[in-house]
Amino acid sequence: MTTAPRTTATDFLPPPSREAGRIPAAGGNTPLLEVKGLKKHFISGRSWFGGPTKRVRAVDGVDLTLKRGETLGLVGESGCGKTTTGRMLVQLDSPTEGRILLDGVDYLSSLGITAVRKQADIKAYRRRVQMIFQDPMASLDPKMSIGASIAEPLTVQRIGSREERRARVEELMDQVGLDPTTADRYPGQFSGGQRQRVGIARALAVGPDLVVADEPTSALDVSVRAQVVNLLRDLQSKLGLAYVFISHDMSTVRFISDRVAVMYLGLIMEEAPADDLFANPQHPYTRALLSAIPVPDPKLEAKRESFLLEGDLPSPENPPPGCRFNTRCPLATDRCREEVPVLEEKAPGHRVACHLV
Amino acid sequence: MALLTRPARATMVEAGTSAGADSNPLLRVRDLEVTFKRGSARVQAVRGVSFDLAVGERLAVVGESGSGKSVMSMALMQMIARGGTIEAGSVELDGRDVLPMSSAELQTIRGREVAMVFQDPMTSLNPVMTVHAQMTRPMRQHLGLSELEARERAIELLGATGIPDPHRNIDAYPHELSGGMRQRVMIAMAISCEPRLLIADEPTTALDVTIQAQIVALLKRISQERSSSVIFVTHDMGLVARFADRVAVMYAGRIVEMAPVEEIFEAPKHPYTQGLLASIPSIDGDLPERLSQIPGAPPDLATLGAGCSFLPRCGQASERCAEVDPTLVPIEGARSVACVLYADYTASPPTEGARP
Repeated sequence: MTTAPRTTATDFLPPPSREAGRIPAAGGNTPLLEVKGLKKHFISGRSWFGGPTKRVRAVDGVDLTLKRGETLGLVGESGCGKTTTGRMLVQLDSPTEGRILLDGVDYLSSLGITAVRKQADIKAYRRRVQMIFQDPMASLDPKMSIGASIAEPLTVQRIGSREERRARVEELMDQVGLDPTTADRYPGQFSGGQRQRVGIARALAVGPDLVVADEPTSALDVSVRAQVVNLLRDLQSKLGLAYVFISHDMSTVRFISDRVAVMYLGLIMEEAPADDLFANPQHPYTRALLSAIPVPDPKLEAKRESFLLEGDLPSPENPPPGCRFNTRCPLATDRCREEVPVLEEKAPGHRVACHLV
Repeated sequence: MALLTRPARATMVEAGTSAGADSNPLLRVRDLEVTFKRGSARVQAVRGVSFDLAVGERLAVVGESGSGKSVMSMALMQMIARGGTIEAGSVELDGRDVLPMSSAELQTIRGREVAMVFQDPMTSLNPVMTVHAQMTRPMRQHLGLSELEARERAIELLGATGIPDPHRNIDAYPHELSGGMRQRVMIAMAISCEPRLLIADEPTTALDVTIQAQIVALLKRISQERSSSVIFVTHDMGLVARFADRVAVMYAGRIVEMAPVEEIFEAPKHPYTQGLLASIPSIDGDLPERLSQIPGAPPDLATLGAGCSFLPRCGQASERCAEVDPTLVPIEGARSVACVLYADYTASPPTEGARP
């Protein structure tokens, strides 16, 4: 890694917040990201009269906060709503309900009423929030050189001249550990790990404050994962990025996250500082999830308490009443089957949604 | 559960220990080589694999994509994708070489003696047959059960793999089930005829961790109670630790290290195994500032040069490594390694015998 000061290539990037003209300077107390009551219901099928017949409650009321430079791990099984939450955070899905505040400003309510205005708002938002996808082969255009792919967000945002963009691409490639002289090559000529580096460079091109990474290491070979995790960590300390790190790989989540939120059927069940969550899980679902994950240590595996869950995830189309986990929870009581538990702070910084904690 | 408490076959008594060197192995693989055609190039997918598998032993085959782990384990039953050829080697099941067998002969072995579970359940489920039809037929054929008995056992097995409402779901078609449920149907089918060997290629990779934990616990229990052997192909070192007795680490088409599971985690010998284990962050211990990482990427098997295939990524390489392409040789105890750090490859031609 070079320790040279940032080159002039980034200097042409105007600070997006000031340019947007409506974002107050980040105060000491305002979190970078604040999510309140976020919901996404997918409607599948409509009746004759246009009414919804099926409503899939993918995300059903999520609150999150994130400070500058902080990493929030978002974990849970498939169908828990973690990916949908991530997609809403970058405006790839628009929320059914709820607020997303960036430096205290609500981008959703300020979305213009006309389609043109809305596009402009989303564009401004994406100057600050970008995404890294799971499969770099699927998210990169195979017919576009990787240099052009990395530069594309700059082109879309009309940032810099052609030469400036070229210089920026070189700088980015250098930052993510790619040889800038390979900018004219195509994704097919790179290995999986290198393609994910391209995906990272592309996400960083516009100089975002927040990067949502959805399973960024899951498609990679085991021996290459650590390279990408280290890179994400290096970039964070260098650029002051905040991450929302979505994954089902708990050991990587523990390594990279400051705080971790556990989702189940569209709701957060528990949220705590990473060390606290792993050492002292409170929610029965978190405990089951952690004990289900095999640890690469045969001696530890032999003496671990196993807390096997029965059955499958209920459908988010028809979540159970009361606590959503009650159908699989070995400790569930009558109260759990009737009353929805609220996500409450049970210890400093440790929030749990369970009647029994 | 009846399926789990039926007495084990008499032939499978002295099982479980991987160190059963003097008893006859269930499976004896020698010098297996598989190549694929890619354009005009020849990809050496499996480059001389040898190992023994004891009765009741659970062997994990680990490696990353392209390491040859899947190709190798499928080739054991002559299953090779288009363009592939088994170039050399032998695979003896109870002393009978299965590689020269005709497909009719193989048919008598598959399902009854050896069952397979694949990563993608749709490759082995028939989309136009109900679960009932697919599950009962082999049980009637191989176990001589009546239609009703087979159905009852099928329901029991489906329940044991965690399928909700098995009485109803047994009459479903595969497309009516979720991916996780299909995977569990396939596993229930695979164990239905109590095979002596189960070859499972990443059977839980597509499943969620809580479901994965159920399935792996079930496979382990069945293997223990029925002394059936398992070859478990995976890239997840955590699953290896939970499930296996012994581990074969594959890299670039070759087993580079083989050892009992505790030993490989406690003291990995091959630099690749060492790097792999060091790169996994701990889930309960102290965390380093940075993860230890293996530089570079796995090699292209069409353009392997002389010397060790791990050389470009190895932190302990010497000049010798460019000259010798090390094969798996026994070192102390029940372990074997393919690395010049542990054996002198000049003294005498090394024996390929991987068996401790």
